Amino acid sequence: MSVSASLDVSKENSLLGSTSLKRRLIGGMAGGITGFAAMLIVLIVFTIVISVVMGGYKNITWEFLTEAPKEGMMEGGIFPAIFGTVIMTMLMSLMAVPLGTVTAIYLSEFAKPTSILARSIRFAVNTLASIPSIVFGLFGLGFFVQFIGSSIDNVTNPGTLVWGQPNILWASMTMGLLTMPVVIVSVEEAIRTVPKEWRDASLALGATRLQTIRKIVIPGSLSGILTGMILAISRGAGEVAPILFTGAAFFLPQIPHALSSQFMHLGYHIYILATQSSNVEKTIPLQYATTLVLLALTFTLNLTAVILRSRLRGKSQSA
Amino acid sequence: MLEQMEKDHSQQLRTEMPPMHPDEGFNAMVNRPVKVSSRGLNLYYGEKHALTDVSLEIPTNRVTAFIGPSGCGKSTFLRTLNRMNDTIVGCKITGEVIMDSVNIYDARLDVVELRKRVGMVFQKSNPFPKSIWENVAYGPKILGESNKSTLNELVERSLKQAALWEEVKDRLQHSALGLSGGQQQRLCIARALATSPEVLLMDEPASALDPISTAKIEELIFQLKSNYTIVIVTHNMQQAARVSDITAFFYLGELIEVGNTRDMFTKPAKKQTEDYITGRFG
Amino acid sequence: MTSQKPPLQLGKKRKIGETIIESLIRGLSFISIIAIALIFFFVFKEASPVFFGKPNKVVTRDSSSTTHNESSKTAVVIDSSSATMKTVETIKAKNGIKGTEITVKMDAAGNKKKFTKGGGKIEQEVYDPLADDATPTKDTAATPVTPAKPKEIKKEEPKPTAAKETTPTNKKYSTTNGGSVEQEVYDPFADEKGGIATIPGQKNSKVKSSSDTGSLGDSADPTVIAQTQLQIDSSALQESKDSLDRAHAGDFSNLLFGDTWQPVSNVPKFGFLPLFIGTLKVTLISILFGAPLAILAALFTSTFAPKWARETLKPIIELLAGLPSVVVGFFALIVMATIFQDLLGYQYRLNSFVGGIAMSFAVIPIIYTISEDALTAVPNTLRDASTALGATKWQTAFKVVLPSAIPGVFAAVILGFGRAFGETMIALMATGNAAMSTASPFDPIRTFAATIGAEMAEVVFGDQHYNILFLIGAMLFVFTFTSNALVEFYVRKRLIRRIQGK
Repeated sequence: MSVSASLDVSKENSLLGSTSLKRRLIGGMAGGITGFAAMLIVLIVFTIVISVVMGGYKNITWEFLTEAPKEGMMEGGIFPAIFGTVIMTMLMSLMAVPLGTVTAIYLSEFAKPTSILARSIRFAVNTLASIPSIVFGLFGLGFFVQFIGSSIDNVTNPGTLVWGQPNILWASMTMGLLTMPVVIVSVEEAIRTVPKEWRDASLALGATRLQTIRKIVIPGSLSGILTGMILAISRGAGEVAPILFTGAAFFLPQIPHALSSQFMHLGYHIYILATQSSNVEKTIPLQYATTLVLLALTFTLNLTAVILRSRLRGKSQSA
Repeated sequence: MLEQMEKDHSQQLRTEMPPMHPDEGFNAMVNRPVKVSSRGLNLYYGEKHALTDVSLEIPTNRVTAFIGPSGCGKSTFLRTLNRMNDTIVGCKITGEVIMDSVNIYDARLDVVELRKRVGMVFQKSNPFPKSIWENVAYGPKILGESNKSTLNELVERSLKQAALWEEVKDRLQHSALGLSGGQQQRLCIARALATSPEVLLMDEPASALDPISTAKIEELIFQLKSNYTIVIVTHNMQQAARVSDITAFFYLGELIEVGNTRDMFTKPAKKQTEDYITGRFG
Repeated sequence: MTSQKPPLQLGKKRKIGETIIESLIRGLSFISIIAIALIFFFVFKEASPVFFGKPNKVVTRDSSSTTHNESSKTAVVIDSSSATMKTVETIKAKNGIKGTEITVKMDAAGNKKKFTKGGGKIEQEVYDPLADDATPTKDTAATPVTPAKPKEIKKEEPKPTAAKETTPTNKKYSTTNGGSVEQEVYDPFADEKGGIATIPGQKNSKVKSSSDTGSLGDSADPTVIAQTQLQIDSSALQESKDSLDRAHAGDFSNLLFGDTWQPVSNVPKFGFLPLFIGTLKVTLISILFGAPLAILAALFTSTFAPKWARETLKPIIELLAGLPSVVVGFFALIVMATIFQDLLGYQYRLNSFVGGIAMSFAVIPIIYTISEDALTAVPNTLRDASTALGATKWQTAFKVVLPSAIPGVFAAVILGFGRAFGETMIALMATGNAAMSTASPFDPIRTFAATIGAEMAEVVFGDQHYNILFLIGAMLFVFTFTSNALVEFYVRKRLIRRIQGK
């Protein structure tokens, strides 16, 4: 009897008393710690952004954006770098977006998800996405510049160096390969939001698979393809390592005039100014401003992609 | 093309029913030649044996209903009739389905040709995110019709056949997603009719609809059966009794019994059919 | 109606256009696989001479000029806008050396030359291979000829004897430490001086270079320079010759497993150990800092967070993922390094700690995204069951949700590790780039990836150094490939099994 009585008492305690408080305390702490971690990440992002913005906004002038560097890159603007970055990302998208979209279409519409082929392509895409960007740079040097470029030179006019050297085309293609997985993943995600019912309806009406893709799937995932494109551009605009030795130039007063010219790149320019120039201290304002331009570029692109994608997700959930 | 169709149509209505084939089996009861028949059809989803040895004959221009508890394979069998199961990964089929004396699982068959003749309406209405007009015109366009006035005629005729024309004729360019559930389903029927199929497969077309819309769809089926061979899957026995001429009862992937609808519901031959119809399971 | 069409017939009407497009789609989708194969092949192809290279180039030297000359392979980066050229000349004048044969090599692309034309920027590689060897020697760096043949222009030029680098950046920011030690630490070719120091007669230039910058002797720190100076003794020449012979024998194990990384010196040393230690240090720091943060944040969004917090955090983390690494590197170099040094008071401004923390910014989004996916994939029934048994929210989160998502979280950490391992720009900008093998997190380090990034631009195409940089790239490739395969074929399977019970 006494045992059961004591049990009753302890039960009552646990319902109302200190245990509940302790539990709540621990629970609060656990929630607090995870919340703190999340807060810290937000803080990091804001610190980076704000410090770059604060350091750079004063120097963003019209001249800065439209002029070439002067005085050994100590003064002047960054127009060639902006231009080079834009051209490079455009060329890169020309390669990455069609190839990535086609691969995504193949993976989601043609391949059986369990087939060895589809799995190997998927594995290749995942691997491609995680290979360090510097290795892409090496590959670009070894393959595009040294192998393809030199072969072109040997065939067209032996003895000259036109394509067998780093240039904007090889840099763009290297970067295109790097950003292709980004396109594949986001386009595939978008294609998956197209309801299977639509495909079924189209097929049942006698449409071929290709007609269904063209008339139903692609129009239905257009915003996803756009998102993938934007994300790829943003990634390509920010990456520096792959172009270190496939086409980016220290300094060029003029903008690239042919596919075989080198080009200036915002990210590479920051790297050069911050670590390689002769007077780093003096160019700090320039560095901040250049970083701000690059940051603004990638942030705008990313933000657009995020908004587009959240809309896409909303659509797929309501459908 | 349209005129030709109309002509064929009226001609067909006038002509006597074609003579019966001596070995038409139970179809003698409904006095129609066989449009589609399956012989020894087995279907596997990976390891799962979903349909076992199904042999069935579907009469021309009659409504055939498939009934049975959910998961019995009735929808799966329906989808074998226009090879929609091709799109399902890991699906394997043996046996044959004969339509117009051609095995539709013959490797040489062009599946697009088949689906032109076998239209399908799905359980969940699935209009494309396009305008009403675009939805109905989709099929003919896919099949190569580009003349705008022909398409307009086709759209109007199909919508009329689907008893939707009066409700939508003023807003053909509006999005189909703005229609009500019942209207959407009738739009899907109109869309399927626009390609002038011979067989119309309906996979529980009214299961997601309110009673009024359901009644409209049933009415529609009744009207359509003079021109089309209709196969309908339903879990609703009253519906099967109301709309169908032939009823086939599926259970656990097997075809248990098939026969004249009235006979099936009054004096089923098999015990399982009787149990199901009288509501002991399912 | 039924008679409008001819009866169904066999025979496919395939449109040729469709068939072509379909096969095109199939073909193009192989690009990813082909790309992987090509990357594998070409990176390894360029790296292979390290193992299979034949010493096929015999370089004859003018022995008379080398008797009194302590030359080494030097890389001089000359910025015409600065006064570096003058420095080089000054050195030459002070050392009173003349008439040394110099090989000026343009890289295969000739782009260095282009700089000269286009922008008034001169970047040259001054290269005097093995000039001190009195007898004709086989070139250590000899390799099979690559398609793009490096153009070699031989000309007589003033010979800088000191390995003099111009990396003002790092000097500028080094405030706590005196002259030469600083230079040693922040110099991209920091160990070069060590290499020089092992060669007798090099003392001269050694002293010279340190007197330039000030206070080698005063330096209280046992840095590389001080250590290597101790090595200067009479046996050093013999040693260097020995190692040279070993290198000739194609004995790559001696070449690669040494503990010094001095690619640009008379006897280039390509010991991977300091690079490995550096990479490991910075990667571990980034994971130790980033992984808990990311995993906890993922747990927060998947379990504790109210909807609004989740909706805010996700885009912010995506923005962090979209942050170019050069921006993170810049932030670390300019802002973070100073703050951390002021706070913690360590000696070197740029070190593996700063680099590691900066690198964690690149790692956090990856770990967060993947572990969040894994955490939300845990079925709600599991959570409900736990809650129904009287567990609190945190008990459910830490004792049910997290454990059942562990394989996914593990995968996230592996992929994050792979990312940090190969991250280049942050390492290049924020870690100090000195190949030191110490244990302290506050010492500067040099990672594998940063080594490629820093040295590939200065290297002669096709020589040993070039091949070894490709070998490093190949290693990075193999590493990511392996960790990816691990995640793909092992972890994911376990995750599925754990959640679905298959």
